[in-house]
Amino acid sequence: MFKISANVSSLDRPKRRPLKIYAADPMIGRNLGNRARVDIENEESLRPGPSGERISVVDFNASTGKYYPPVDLNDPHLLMQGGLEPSESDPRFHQQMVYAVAMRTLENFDKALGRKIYLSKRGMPLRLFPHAFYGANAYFDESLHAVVFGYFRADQAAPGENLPNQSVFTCLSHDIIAHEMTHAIVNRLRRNFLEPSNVDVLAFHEGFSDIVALFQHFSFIDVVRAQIQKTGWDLRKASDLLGLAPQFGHATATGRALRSALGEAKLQLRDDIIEPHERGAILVAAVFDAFMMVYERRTADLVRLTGSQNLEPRSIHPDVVNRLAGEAARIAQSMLTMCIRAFDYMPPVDVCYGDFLRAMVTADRELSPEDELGQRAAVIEGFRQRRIYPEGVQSLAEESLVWDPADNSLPPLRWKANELLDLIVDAASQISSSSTPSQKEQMHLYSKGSSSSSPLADQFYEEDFEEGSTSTSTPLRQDPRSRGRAVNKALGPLARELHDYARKNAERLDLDPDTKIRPLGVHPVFRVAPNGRLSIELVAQVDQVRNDDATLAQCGGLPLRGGTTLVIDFNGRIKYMISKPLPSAHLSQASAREATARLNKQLSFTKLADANDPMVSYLTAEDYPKRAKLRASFANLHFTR
Amino acid sequence: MAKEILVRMYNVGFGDCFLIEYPGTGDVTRRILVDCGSIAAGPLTMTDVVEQILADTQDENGLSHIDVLVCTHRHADHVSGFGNPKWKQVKVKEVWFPWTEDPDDPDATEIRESQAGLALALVNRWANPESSSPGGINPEDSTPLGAEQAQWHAMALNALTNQKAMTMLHEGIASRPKAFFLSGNGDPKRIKSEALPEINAFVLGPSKSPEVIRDMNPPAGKTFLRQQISSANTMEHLEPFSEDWPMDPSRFAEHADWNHLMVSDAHAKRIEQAASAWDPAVTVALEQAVNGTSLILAFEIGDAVLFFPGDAQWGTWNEMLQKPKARALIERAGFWKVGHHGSHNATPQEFVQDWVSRQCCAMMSTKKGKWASIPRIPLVDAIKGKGIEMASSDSRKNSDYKRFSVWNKQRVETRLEM
Repeated sequence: MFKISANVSSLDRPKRRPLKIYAADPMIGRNLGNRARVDIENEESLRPGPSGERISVVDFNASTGKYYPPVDLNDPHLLMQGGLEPSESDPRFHQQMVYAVAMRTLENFDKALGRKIYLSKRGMPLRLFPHAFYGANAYFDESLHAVVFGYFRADQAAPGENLPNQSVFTCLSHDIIAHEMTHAIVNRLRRNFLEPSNVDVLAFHEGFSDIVALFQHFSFIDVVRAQIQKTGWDLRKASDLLGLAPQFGHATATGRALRSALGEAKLQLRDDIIEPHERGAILVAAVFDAFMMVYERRTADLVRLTGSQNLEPRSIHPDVVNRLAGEAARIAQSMLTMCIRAFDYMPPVDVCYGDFLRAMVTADRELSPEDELGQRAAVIEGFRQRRIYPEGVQSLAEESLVWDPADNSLPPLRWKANELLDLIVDAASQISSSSTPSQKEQMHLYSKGSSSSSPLADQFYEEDFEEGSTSTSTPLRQDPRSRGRAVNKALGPLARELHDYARKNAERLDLDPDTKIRPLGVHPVFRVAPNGRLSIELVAQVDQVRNDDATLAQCGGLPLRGGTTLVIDFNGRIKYMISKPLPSAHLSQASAREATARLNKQLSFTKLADANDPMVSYLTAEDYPKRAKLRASFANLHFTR
Repeated sequence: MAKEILVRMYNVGFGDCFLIEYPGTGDVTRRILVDCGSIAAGPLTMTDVVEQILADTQDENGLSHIDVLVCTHRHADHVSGFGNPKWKQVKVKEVWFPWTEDPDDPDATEIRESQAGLALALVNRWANPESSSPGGINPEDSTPLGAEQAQWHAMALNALTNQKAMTMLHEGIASRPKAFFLSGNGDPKRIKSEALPEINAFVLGPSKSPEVIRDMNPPAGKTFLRQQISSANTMEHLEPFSEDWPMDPSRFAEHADWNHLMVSDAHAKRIEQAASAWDPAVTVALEQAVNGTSLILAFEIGDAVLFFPGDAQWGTWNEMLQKPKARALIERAGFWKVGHHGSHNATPQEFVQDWVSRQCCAMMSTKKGKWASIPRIPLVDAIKGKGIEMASSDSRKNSDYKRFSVWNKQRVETRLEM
C-alpha cells in the first residue's frame, strides 16, 4: 500500500471490491447474457489465489497433479476493470468467481448474525479448490477443511443445452458454490450438525444450503427484472430464479435444473422421506412458499393499481417491473436474514425441522416484535402447508412456537459487555461496510470510520485453547492464527466463566453433572432491528457426549450427544435455554422423558438409515460398526444426487 | 393321503434357484421354477445344476416340463442358468417377468438401457482402472485391493444385460411360452395364469409408482452416477484447460508469492482418493437399482401360501408394508424365500417381527464369505430367534429342525400340506 502524508487530502481505501461472475452458470449466461457484478469486502491482505483472511482459493487439480496459476486481484489491470471477464476457458476467472460468490455468501451470514464468521481452523483459512478432481461432484470436506469442486464432461447422449462432452465446471455455478460454502459455514456454527442423529439433521444441512443459494439469486437485480418481464408478476413461474444449478442438471441428462425451490407442488413431509436432499427440498419449499406469500401480499396493491396481472408479461411497464423486482429482492434478503439469524437460537446438537421453525420465530420476534412484513406468519403457514410440525408445542400460534423463556430462578451469568465493547463496535463497523445500501442505512449509526478489524471468533476449537500449541500441519499463513488468538484472548475468560457456570448449574441447564461439559462457543451478538432498536446479547453453547462402546455399537459408530444453547441478555439474565438433554438420573421428569425419546429416535433412525443404505451389505467387518459415521460425510452424501 | 406341495432349493452357490411342485387336477404335476442363476458356484457347477433340474422335472415320456418359469429380475445370480441351450427343449407354458423386462414398454426400456449402460461402464472401469482417472484404483497396489476390486468387478458384471439367458427366456424356448410382464403396488393382485389353473398366484411388486421407478433408474434419480463413470479415459481428456494453463508443482513452487497455495502430498492424496471412493458406491447403487426391479410373488396353493419376495429392496418393501391385504396374505405363509441371500436391505425387521408367522419355514440361498455382511447375522438370528425353521443352502443340516425332508449339500426340500 502506498502512503500519502496525513495533511494531503488522501483517497480512502475503498471498502468494497467489485468482481464479475456468472449470475447463475455459463449455460444460463449464454441465453440471457446475464453476467453479474458483486461487491465484496476489499480485504486488505488479499494475496494471489485469491487468498484472503477467511477463505483461500487453491487451484490444484488432484486428478492430474497440476496447479493452475492463481489470479492476483490486486493487479492494476484487473482493478481497473473490476476483475476478469467471465470465461470458461480461463481458470483464473474460475478462481475469481469462486472467491466472489463464497465471500458474498459469507457476508450474508456476517450481516444476519451481527458478527464476522471466522472460518480459520488451526490457523488455516477455509480452502476452496475450484478444480479439485474429475467428477460430477462438489462437497465440503470437514477434515480437509476445504470445499472441493469437480469438473466433468456433459452427457454424451443427452447434454441438454451443453455440447456433448463439453467440460462442465461445478465451480462456475453460483448455486453450487453458495451451497457448499453454506455447508462449511453451518459446520462452523454448529459442528455437531454433521452427525445424523435424527432424520432431519443432514436434510437440514442440505435444505438450508439450498435456501441460501436460492435467495441469493434475488440479489442479482437485473436477472430478477428480466425474469419478471419474461414470466410476469407471479414469481412461482420464475424458473430462472427458482431453479438450482441449471447447467449441472442439464449436463447430467435430467433435462432440468438440479432442484427447484418450490419442489413438487403437493410435496409434504413424511416419515419415509429420508434421503437428505429429498427431505431437504421440503424445507426449501416451506420457506419459499412463505417467501411467495409475503411477496404476493406486498405487491398485490401495485399489481392491482397497474392492472399488471392481466397483461402479457412483456407489456408490463418497465417501471412496474423495476418496483416488483426491487420488492422481490428486498423480501428475499429479509427472508434470508431471518433464516440465518435462527442459528443463534438453535440447539447445539440433534436439530429437527421444528427446532429451526421455533428458532426462526423466536429470533425474529426478539428483534422485531411487530412482524411488519408479515414474514413470521408466512413462515409458520409455509411450514404448516408442508406438514412440518415442531414437537411438543401446543399450537402453531406464534406465542407457542417461541422457545419457552428460561427458568427465572437461574442465577445470572456474569459478563461485562463493556469489556467486549471494542470487539462489538469493530464487528459492527465490519458488517456495516459489507452491507447493501438498505442495511447500511439501518446501521450507519454504529459504523466507525476505521476499518481495522477484530473479528469475533464464532466457535473456538479445543486446540485454540491449548496454550502454545503448535499445529501439525504447516499453517498457510500466520495472520489468521494471530487474529484468532487475539479474539480468543478477549473471549477466553468468558468461555471459562461459561464453563464454570454450566458446571455449577448443570442440572438446571438440562446437563448431566457427571459428564464432561464442553463449551462450544460464546459470542456477543449485536443487532439493529428494523425500527432502529439496538440489541446486544450473548449467545453460548455447551455440549456433552456419551461415546461408550455400547452407545457407539447401537448407533452405528456415532456417539449420543446432548447440549444446551443459552441466550443471555445484557445483564446476564438467561433469556432462553434451548436444550437437548442426555439421559441422566439428574433430570427433571419432563427433560428425562425428552432425553429418552431422543435416544430412541436416534436408535430407530440408525435402523431406518441402515435399511435404506445399500452399501451396508457390502461393508467390511471393520467398517460395518462405523456405518453411520461413514454416512455422515458430504463426500459420500453428495454424489447420490 | 393329504396332497403335498414340494419346495426345493438347489444349492447353486451364490444365486437363487427354487422349484415348486404340486399335484394339479387329474394326474398332472404342476411345476414352477423361480430363478436359475449363480455367480459363484457351489458344490455343483451351474451346468450340472441345470442338468439336475431337467432330470428332476421329467414326465413319464422322458421330456422335461415346467409349467411356469419365473425370472424375478435380470441379475446373473438369478438367471445365468437360463443361458444353457438345453432350455430350448423344455416344455414351458408361461414365463413371468417383472414389468421392467417388457420390450414394448418405453419406461421399461429406458430403465433397462440406463442400467445396462451403467453396468457396462462400471465393468470396464473395474476391469481397467488405469484407463480411467488416475483417481481410480491402481492395479499395482497390493493384493487386498486387487481382491476387493475383483469383487466390485463381479458385482458390476452381475448387472450386465445377461443377454444369453434373457434371450432364451424371451424367445428361445421351443414350446413358445406366453410371456407375462407383471407389476404390483404392494396389494396382492391375482395373476391370470392359464398354466396354473388350480391355484392363486399373486404379484405384489415391482411397482410402477414414480418413486420406485426413480430408484430403478440411476441416471434419472441419481444424477451424479452416470457422470462418475463417463468417458474420460486419457490424461488429455482429464485436463479441462488448454496446455498453457496446467503447471507442474515444481514450476509452481518457483513463485515465492504463491507458496501459501501449495498443497501437501497427503492432502492431494486425500482428494484423489475421495474421488475414487465413489466407484464402489455407484456399483452398489446399480446393484440395488436392479434388485429394485424384483418380482414379488405369493402362491396360494390349497390352504398353503408360499412367499417369494425376490431381491426386493426397501422402497418396494415399504410400499407393501403399508398394505393390510398383503399382510393378511403373508401372515398365512407356510414358506418364505429369504430375499437377496440374507442381506439386510432385503428383509425389513418389521417383517420378521410382525408379519411372518412362527409356523412359517424359510430357505435362504447364500454362500458365506462372498461378502462380509451377507448373510446378515443379526437377521439370521432374528429369524431363528422367532422360532422359524430356516435352512440355508451352504450350511449343514440342523437336526433339531423337523420341516426339511431333504437337506444335503446339493439341495434342501420341504413339503407343505395343501
